[in-house]
Amino acid sequence: MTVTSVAEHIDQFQERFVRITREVAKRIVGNEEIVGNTVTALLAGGHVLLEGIPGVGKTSLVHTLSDVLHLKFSRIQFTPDLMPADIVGTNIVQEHAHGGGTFFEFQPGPIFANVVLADEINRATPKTQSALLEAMQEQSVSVGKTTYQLEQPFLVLATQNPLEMEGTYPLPEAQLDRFFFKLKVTYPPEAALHQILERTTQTDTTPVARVMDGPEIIEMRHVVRSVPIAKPVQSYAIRLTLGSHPGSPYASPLVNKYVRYGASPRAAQALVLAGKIHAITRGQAFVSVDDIRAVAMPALRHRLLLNFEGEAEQVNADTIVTELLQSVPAEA
Amino acid sequence: MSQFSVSDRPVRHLVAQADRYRRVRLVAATVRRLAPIGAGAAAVTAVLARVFGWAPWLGVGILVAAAAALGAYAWWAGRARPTSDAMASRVDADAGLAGELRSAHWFEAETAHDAWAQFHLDHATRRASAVDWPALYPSTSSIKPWAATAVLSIVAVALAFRAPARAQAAPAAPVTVAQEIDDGLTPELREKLAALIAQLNAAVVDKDPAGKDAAMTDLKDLMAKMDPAMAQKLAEMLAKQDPKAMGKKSDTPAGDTPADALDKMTEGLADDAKWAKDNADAKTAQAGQAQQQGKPNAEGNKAGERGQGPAQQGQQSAESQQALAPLMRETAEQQSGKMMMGGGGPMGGDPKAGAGPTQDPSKGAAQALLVAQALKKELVEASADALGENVEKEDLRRKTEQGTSSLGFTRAAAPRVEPSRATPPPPVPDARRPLLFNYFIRRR
Repeated sequence: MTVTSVAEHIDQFQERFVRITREVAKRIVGNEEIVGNTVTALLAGGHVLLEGIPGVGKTSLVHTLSDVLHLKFSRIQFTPDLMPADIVGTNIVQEHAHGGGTFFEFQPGPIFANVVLADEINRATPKTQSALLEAMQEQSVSVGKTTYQLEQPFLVLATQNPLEMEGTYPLPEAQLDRFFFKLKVTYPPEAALHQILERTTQTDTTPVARVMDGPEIIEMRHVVRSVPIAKPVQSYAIRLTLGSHPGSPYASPLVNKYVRYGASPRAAQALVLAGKIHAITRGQAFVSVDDIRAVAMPALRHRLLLNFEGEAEQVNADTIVTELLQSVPAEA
Repeated sequence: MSQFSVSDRPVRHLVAQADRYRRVRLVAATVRRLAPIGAGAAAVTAVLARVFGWAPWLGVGILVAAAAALGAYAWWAGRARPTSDAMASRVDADAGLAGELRSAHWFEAETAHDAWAQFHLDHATRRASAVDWPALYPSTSSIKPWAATAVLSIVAVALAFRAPARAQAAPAAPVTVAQEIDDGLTPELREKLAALIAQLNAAVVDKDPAGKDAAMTDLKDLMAKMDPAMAQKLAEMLAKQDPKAMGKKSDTPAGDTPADALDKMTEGLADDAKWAKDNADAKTAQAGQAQQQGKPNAEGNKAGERGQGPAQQGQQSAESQQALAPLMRETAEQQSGKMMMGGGGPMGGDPKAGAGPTQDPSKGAAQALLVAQALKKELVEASADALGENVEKEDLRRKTEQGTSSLGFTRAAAPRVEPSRATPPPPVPDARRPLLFNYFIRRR
């Protein structure tokens, strides 16, 4: 790769990124940041947890994204009686066509897709939720003695209702940590509601074009990882991660008071990767502290495990992350 | 100057250059702020040195020290130094380069650069070179601080070298006679003078008037030989301390009234002593009036008012006697004090022994003595805080402290301890109950 090609890669990346978000924005109104972060997680090879009250467009966002990306899409509706085999698949007994006995044949579950929508993931039991762990981390599924690789790109987009809703199970910490971003879908404003009604209550539906396919996404993932990051900026991401741990020298007062466990090293990985994507979408060939700060909130908010005090006082993790961003110095 | 050549490490060179502009501006601002303060301190010191007679070069010294300190600070803060990440970060933020210069500053120190890093370095160099660093860190030139510094410096220097110190023209501190005479004398004269003064002192101690007069005459002759002005001055000073001169001055002139004589005798007393003297005068005047009024009363008695006449006369006589009684009694009781006070002491009274209360103006010293004794007794009573005859108020403070305070101590019952029973858990505070409810019970 030459210096000239670097500039071309950057331009191409920017153009593709804008193309995806613009196409998704044809259907999804008023959530440009959510769309951008979802595409960021896709290009970083991560998974996204979308949280919001019912009816704010979480499932529509995932549907639209799968349509735009020309990828294999599957949807799993998580219910309390859902079993792990319903997700990953199972071996079923088959008879040979010409007789001669039976044999086990693996029937893949809905996890075998490029984009998996785990709708209302916190309505299933933790046992079923944990069935996604291996798929999300290792991009593979083990059934019996056989491990099946998942097709790339693989993206889990999970939606969940707020925890205080009826019939929900909180996600295990290990599961939460495997989500690259946690995005909060807020209620759309009045102007956005007007557009939503105009697009969804009339005869004409808004078509979206398939602007990208799997290989292009994988190529963009390579470009992302090529973006250099200076050691001082990387140190800032590390300080930010360490600052989420109570007792750390970088910890803020709220962290020391309300957090039981801070962010894992996956959080630092997410910060750097998302920072690179944020940088390159701005046409930069470097990562700055501002890029890390821009992606810190969705990368850290679900990785803070609150203690009893924090739970009892219903402390918002966003408040803690905001204070962390203000307290951690940009320079060592 | 920068340690990096433009061709080798352009980004670091640019960072060093920009940081130098930044530091020069910072140093200039600091020096501009501190220079008037230093000059002002020098000027104030020069003024104080002139007023109090300190060394005249003190203000100039402070001025030079302040200038040296500021110069050292300017050199230290503006010197060339290796670039750092913090330095690059500051410059980057000031120029609004969104972290590119800082990142490139780090990458430039790396030995191996891939295409992305090289692209980043080239891009950062172009952007940083396009920044107008002198315009980004302009040197704000304000004439006021420098003008103030110049004026104050001139004042400090002028006070030190131009104007004479006030201490040089001011009179010297009071010295003793011996010290005053000792100035500017040869050792022989000084020894002679010291011997005469010793002789004079010995004559005073031994109460030898003849020796004293002889020593004084010799001393005056010697002083007249040395310096007539000094001799006159010495004569005046000795005259102030001469008891005879004092005695002559305290003699009542023929034309003075007794009151004038008493005023002269009590001259130099404290205000309270004067007040006591006035009080005694008033009482004496009242007693005199009462005696004069006693004659008509006696005539009235003769006219037939025999029932009340003797009684009134006796009462008035008793009042007048009562007015004078304390003074007379104290005078009679404290003969020793009277002798001391009347012997040319600090009261400045008659050098002769006191003779008790009298209307003779020449005996005014005795009255002053009585006044002083009465005042002394008052002071003693007041300081002892006792209910003396001159203290009319009750001692409220003492009565309050020793009075009938109803404050007491109540003994609280000891808490019961039952070690056989387990201590119940502390109740949940009301403020915590909603939190616990929210935590353990899921909201519907």
